[in-house]
Amino acid sequence: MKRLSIAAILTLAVAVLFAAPASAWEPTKPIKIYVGFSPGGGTDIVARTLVAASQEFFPVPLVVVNKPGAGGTIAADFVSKQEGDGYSLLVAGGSESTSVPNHREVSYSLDNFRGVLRNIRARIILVSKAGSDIKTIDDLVKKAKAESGKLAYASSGAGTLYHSTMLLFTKAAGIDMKHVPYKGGSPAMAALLGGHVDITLAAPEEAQAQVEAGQVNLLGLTSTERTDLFPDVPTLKELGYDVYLENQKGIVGPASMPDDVYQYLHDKFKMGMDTKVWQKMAGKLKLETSYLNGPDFKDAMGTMSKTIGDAVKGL
Amino acid sequence: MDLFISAASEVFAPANLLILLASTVIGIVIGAIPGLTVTMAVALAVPLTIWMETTPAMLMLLGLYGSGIYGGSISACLLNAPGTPASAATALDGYELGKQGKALKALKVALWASVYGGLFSIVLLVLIAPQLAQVALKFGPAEITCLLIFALTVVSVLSGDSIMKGLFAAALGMLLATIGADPMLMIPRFTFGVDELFDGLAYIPLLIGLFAIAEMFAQSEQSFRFGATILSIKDGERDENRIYAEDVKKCAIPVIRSGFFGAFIGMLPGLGAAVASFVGYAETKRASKEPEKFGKGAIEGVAASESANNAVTGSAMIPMLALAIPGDPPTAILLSALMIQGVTVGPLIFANNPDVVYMIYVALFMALVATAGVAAMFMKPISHVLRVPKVFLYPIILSMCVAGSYAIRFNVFDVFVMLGAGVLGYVMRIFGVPVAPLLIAFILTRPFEESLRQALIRSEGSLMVFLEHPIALFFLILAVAAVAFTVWREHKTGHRIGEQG
Amino acid sequence: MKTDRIFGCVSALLGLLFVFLAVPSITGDWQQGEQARYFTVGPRLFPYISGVLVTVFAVLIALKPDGMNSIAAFLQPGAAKRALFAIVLAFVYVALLEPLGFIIASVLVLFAFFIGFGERRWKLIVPIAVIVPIAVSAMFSGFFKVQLPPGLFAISF
Repeated sequence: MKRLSIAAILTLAVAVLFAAPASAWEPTKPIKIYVGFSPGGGTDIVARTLVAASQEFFPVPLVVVNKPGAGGTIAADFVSKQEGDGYSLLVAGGSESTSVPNHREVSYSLDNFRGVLRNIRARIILVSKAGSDIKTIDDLVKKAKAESGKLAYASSGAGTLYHSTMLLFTKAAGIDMKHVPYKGGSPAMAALLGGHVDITLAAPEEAQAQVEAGQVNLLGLTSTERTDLFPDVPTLKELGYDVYLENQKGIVGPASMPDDVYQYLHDKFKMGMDTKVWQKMAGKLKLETSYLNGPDFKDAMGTMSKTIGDAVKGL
Repeated sequence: MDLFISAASEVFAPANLLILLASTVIGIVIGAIPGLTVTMAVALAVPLTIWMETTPAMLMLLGLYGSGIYGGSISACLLNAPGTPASAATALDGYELGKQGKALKALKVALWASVYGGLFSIVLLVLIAPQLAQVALKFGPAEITCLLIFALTVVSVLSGDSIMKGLFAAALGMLLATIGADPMLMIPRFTFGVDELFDGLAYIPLLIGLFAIAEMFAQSEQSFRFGATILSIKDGERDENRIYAEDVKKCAIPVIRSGFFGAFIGMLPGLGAAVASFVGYAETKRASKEPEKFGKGAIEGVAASESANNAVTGSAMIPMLALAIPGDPPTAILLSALMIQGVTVGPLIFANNPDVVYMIYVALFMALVATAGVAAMFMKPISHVLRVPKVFLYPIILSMCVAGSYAIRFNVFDVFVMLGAGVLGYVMRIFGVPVAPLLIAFILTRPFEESLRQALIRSEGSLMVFLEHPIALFFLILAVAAVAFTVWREHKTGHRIGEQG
Repeated sequence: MKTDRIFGCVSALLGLLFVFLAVPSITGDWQQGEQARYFTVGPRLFPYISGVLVTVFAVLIALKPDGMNSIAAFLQPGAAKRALFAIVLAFVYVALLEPLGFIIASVLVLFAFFIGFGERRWKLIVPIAVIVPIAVSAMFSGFFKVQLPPGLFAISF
């Protein structure tokens, strides 16, 4: 109660201090970009890259705040409950937005957010160990049917996007595989290379180093079209399995964010994405820059979330 | 060899040396402050490296990375407030030495043991990284499970004088580790709907609470007037703080052995420097002829712990460089930083970018040299912090701990966890229950549960999997032998004390 | 000896409560669903094991007390009172952290700490109580980019 009243006084004071004419919105204090994962993770890297590229267009500092925990849902929940004043933003689009809410109860939904823009998309690739007799999706399906329930796949954790992807795929292919959850993508890849599981999933930038060294076979990717990075790898759709899921990273804010704030943030971050800094870093990090505006980004998340929701319910 | 020389000559450019020195100092400071982590520092530095050349970028990041763990031992020895989880084992004897007025000696030994541990792991990295990486891959769920069973046996060694209370503390640590979502299915356990508990109790706040905050509560009993560490620079005390040949002899074997343990544990994913230092410490105590001196200011305990945790720094780079699979958060960030520099890590890096590989070797080595230099120079001035009256010192430490615990996840909840752990640690002290077994059991339980259940998924519930894998079986036998040895020795010393009494 | 017995009994009781009340509260659908048959060990196993171990060792402490504890220091006149004061103050500190902000909460608590523990050298305690929080805050936000709770100071932005 006390906290509330202090907040109210503060808001009032700020409102009086900065009562500007109803012109275009401009930020007057640091903008916080919340990341639901620890420093160094994929989401954190995207946030820091975007900040490094966009800072020059903002009159105030952009601050990356890592609020990790519960698969990114603590930060998502936190931002969903902030005011839509443009000072609290979230890097969204991954498991916490599309997958986790379908597996367990969380106190927010996509409706609590307003999309600002999408920065990248990350394909999801099914990989097997080089030298194993699974070299194509066909091999995998055949083997899984012959030894029902014996093959195992490693995911980056229960309820994550990778887990959901495999649920979708095994359902579409009518096969049964064991799910072995690991804590993140790296341990899952290590488990594959060590021969402790048969299949795992990887992002292109993770797969690249292993492919170059001839350590893994790329079986297929879960997008609607192929990727330039690995033009020879077929999509699951081409092969007749209706699986379309991708990881995305972009900026969202609380749903109450007004239009002028949205427009301002969208335009500035878009300018950031067009800079050399962004292009250099994204290029080096093998991130696939893929811009979408706010509403389209939100639609894209909504579609994936629904796909996963239908699959999970069907179990 | 040419590559070594060209890498070294780049490092010795004045601007690069300056960067190295600055990042080492910052790394030590961050390591020494409870709650601030090397991971955070490295993450903050990465965006700065975008437009840097590879050499200064690597020097900056590896300077931070390589010096942080030593920093942790400073606050562990001086204040019983380990700055990083990796130096919790250092505090067990380091702080006791501090209480005896030998804080400087503890810091010196910690430094030289750290340098040895770091050096040893760099040598391994240089000589046999690809081979070791292949060994690391062999460790699947079954092998990790058995390795952790072996690691859990250190609990009995860490228990001190009261083995029952030690085991009780370990069981309590295990219980606390089950709070949060279960590692397989994400089913919440004892979270009471609190999202912050979903990942379990955050372990840095737990550590700060059990050590630093509990120490503060205990000292408050007597208004911070007694039991405090006094450091005077009178001649007699100066002699107390020298390292003698006898100390070197005492520490040599423990340091070498712990370096080995640390390097081994460091290259496996998900275990880390804290486990390494506890295992190094416990094995040294187990092998010692005078185990009763541990926990009361045994210099070799400090040496063993610091050698083990610093050996992790170099060996954690092995899977990152040789397989492109980072084993812990800071190496994950180093991997991104290397990618930004246009270097693809992985098995081919040794063929495609040998210049970068040698640069990393030299940078890691120089970070070690810089740490040694900086630490040796500032050790004495820093230890004068002990002359500040405790009634001022502890509240100041409290406010830093509050800030540090908050900074882990930007969450006040974690600060309450720290205080709760502080009260728990204080109550345990009153009843003579040691906190170290609690901490190590807490750290080990989560990976243990995870790998055990992963192994059982694969084997469909059959426990035979642990006997069929040779490496797993080896560690099981080792665990049984370790327990048998401890029981046998308890029995023997029990008799001896009985005879004397 | 008596202390150890009491400690052991109370801990054993808590351990039993944990095993019989808390652990069964873990519910979830791990027995059902597509993947269920692969999960031979559920999320309750480790809580059960640890709860039983806590109880067993607590009973053993009660049966074979070793008398190694520092209860004597705690029972000295005033000791418990002082420790309690420190604990309560620490909790107040953290409770004030978000409403007042790090700096103001720290200044108040440091000051209360010094006064409470009988420090009356005003020329020392006032500057320390003011400068330390500002310095810590500046170090965290300036150097490590960690913004501590601003609380009432939010107004300055």
